[in-house]
Amino acid sequence: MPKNTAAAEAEVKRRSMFQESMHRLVQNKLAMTGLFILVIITVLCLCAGIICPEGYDHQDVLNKFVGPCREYPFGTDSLGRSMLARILYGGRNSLKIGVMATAFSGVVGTVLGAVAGFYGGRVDNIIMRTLDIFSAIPNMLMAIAVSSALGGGLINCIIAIAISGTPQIARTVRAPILAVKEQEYVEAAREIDASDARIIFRHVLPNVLSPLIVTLTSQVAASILVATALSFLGLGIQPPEPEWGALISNSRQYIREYPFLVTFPGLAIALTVLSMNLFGDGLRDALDPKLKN
Amino acid sequence: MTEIKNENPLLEVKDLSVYYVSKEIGTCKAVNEVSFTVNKGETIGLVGETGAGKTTIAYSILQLLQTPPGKVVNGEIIFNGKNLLDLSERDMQKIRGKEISMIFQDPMTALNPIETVGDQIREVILLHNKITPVEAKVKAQEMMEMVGIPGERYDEYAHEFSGGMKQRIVIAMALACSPELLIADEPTTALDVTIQAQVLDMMNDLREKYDTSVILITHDLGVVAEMCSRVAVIYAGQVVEMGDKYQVFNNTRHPYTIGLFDSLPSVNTNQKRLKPIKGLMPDPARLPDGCKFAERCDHCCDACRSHEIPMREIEPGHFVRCDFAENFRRNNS
Amino acid sequence: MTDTILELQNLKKYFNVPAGELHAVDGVTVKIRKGETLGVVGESGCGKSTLGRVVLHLLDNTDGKIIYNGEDITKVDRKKLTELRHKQQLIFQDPFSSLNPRMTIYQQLAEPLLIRGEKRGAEMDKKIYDMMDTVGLARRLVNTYPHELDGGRRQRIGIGRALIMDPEFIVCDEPVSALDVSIQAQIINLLLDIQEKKQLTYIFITHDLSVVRFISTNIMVMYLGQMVEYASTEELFNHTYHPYTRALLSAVPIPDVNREVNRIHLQGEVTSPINPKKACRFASRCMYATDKCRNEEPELQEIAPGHVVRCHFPLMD
Repeated sequence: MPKNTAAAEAEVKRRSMFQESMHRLVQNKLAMTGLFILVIITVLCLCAGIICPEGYDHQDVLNKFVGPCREYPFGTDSLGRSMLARILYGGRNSLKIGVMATAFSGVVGTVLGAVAGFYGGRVDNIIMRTLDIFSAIPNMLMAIAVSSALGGGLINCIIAIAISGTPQIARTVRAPILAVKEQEYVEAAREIDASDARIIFRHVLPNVLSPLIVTLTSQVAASILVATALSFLGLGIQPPEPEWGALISNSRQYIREYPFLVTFPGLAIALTVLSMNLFGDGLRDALDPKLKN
Repeated sequence: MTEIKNENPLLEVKDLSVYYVSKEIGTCKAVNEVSFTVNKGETIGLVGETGAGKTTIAYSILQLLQTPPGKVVNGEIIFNGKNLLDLSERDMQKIRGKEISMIFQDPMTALNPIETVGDQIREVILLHNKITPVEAKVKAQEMMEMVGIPGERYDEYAHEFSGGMKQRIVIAMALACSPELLIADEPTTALDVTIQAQVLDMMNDLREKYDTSVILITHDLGVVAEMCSRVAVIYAGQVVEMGDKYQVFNNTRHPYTIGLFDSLPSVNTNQKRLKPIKGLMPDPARLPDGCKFAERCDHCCDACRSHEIPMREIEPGHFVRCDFAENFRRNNS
Repeated sequence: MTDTILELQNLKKYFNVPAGELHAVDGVTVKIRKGETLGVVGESGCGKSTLGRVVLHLLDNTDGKIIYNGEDITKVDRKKLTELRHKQQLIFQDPFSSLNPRMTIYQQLAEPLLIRGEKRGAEMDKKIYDMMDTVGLARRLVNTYPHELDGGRRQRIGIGRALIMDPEFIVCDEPVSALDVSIQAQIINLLLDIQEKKQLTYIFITHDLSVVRFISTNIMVMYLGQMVEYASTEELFNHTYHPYTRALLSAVPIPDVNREVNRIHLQGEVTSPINPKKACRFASRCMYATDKCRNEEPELQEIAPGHVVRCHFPLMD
């Protein structure tokens, strides 16, 4: 009987690490605000077709440069297109680029950084020096070079941005791994016969999550901005497809007369980046068991 | 064995209480009404386990507590007739290093890695004495010689010395202004036994030479036996037993002190198992009422938990914080 | 001698460092019988931790032989290594850095079982709860993280993680050095209880002579990578032949105020273990050192039955 109670007692307290983390995340007001804003922005962008059934390239030629009004909440641009529609449709592209490019460079960069840091020596040298060559070229130039080689379009744009972002992620992961791999628990894992992959993924990587998550969230924001520059140069998303950065750069000549043309897409980018960072910080704290309670 | 009553002790700590207050944990009562005195030229040992509050006491004396979260909530620290708690930070700076100095546990972090050790000693001397840098350098070299390091090594950096030598340099630095009181916080814990022996011997010699009083903070009863004339045993922020070292070692009365001695591997007897103290020290944020040791004590009764246990003088100069101290005695062979 | 579980023959481990070759372990020859404890004593940098790691194949050895249960395991393939790691375990000194901060007690203890290919489920739960009982951890702590626990409890997790593999041989690398005395006694008793129950063999690495004396069957004293003296515990403490061992024994502060301190003072500086010359490594600090000591490396000699010493002029009194 007492044995059962003990087990039951343990059962009550038993919650997986994931559940614990989620619980802590939900408690964090700032992170939840960030998540809330992100969800709203995403849903709005996904429902662009319903909110603006006329589409992003419907031109109302008689109503150019109309300020925010009932019919055009965010006004219209130089061709009389609804800014609201263009921002919502543009958001689809911007978010896609930001998230997918970061996901790609996140996975590749983490694996490269982890392998380099964990094995050290020659492997480390080969990987890190190669990445150094990549990062010697400025991010923007790199993205321009890649996308001009591959051509315009959404997918190529994502690839270009992902490649230019990878070295930074790899470096962010590698540095703390150098410290973590010297910890005795890594040796302990080896002594219980854990494979290298298991040691890396279960014992080393979880302990370098904090800097990684912070970098990743800022990387999403940075990717959106790089995409902007690419489309400004005509290498990213091709017009008339909208994209937040492109909206700003196309409107820059009217900034004095019609500031709303820049303000709204600017706000969209700022809000997304801010809420992404808030959520990222919250996530980092939630995943750290030391900050429990 | 009787204690010489000194009318004017060098340092008198009276009813010192220090709390750490934080939102998450609440009030952590690190030090609770601790009183002890340090006479001129004597070495007193503060013995206790991790988290007993030994280091907090030392930091309070030097006013080095981080406030917040730390806060002295009660008590007086009287040094040469002045209450240190009333002094301004400026006045305290004049006392620190000159009249009271401190040796920390880890010699590796106490020395600046990018400044030569000689210059570091000289800097302390210059700070508190009105002499020229050249004179200070000569003095610094003298200090190095005194702790057994050739003066020619004045221009070397910390990493060029071994652990024991680094700790000797730290000691030279602490003694450079001939302080009246030296607080040594686990000065030899990070050292090997043979090196520890050298450092302890040296500290003993220097103390005699300079007539410095020492507060030696340690967890090692062996070090206390060799170095101290009086001992205060600290448990959960309280002094539980205090007296002349012969009283505390030969006539041990508090169950915690007895437990400490008993949990050491004995040299003589053929015991099969050690005798640990059961359980853990109470969380200083949730101290129990009454005797703080009650939960781990084999002899605890309801009376122990019902009231705050006072310190009692069971023989001249020997104080014990236990109502039943007369019933217990360590069986030391 | 069928009950010899581990035999080391002239075991060496050198590291390449910028300044040359660091002789971390240099010629250790010893036998350990099943169910016994070999205490390895020495000061920091004497190579005692390296020795433990070489024995467990966490580091490759440079020279010499490791014979385990009559089988030469000096060089092993991956498959054999897996087999050995089920039988041999390591308990660490630092209960802070030896546990993954992101794993609960349950996960720490489940990890070896999962690696061995056992399935999650009631059976594994039972094993883990039983192990928590064995090492004296309350079951309600099963989902706590290491940082929420004190040093003693953390050390119990480390012991549990080693024991759950059901090993027969454990290297304990300073398992109690980071703990307070009252907790230290709890952990030592636990290690002794388990040893008795499971017939375990320990290599107990420590710098604490009173602990090693209490727990060991035989003691090996190391100085700068070399084994300088080896004997049964009683023999070593009664007849100490090597000057270093004597100095070491006399340096330990004894918590007894009635005893006169009679200490051997070591002079001089510790010789560097990097590219050591052919000489006695203790000569620079030894008060009995002669020219022979400074020019000729002493060999191990059996001075009494089962008592080995590496000294040109063992102290006979």
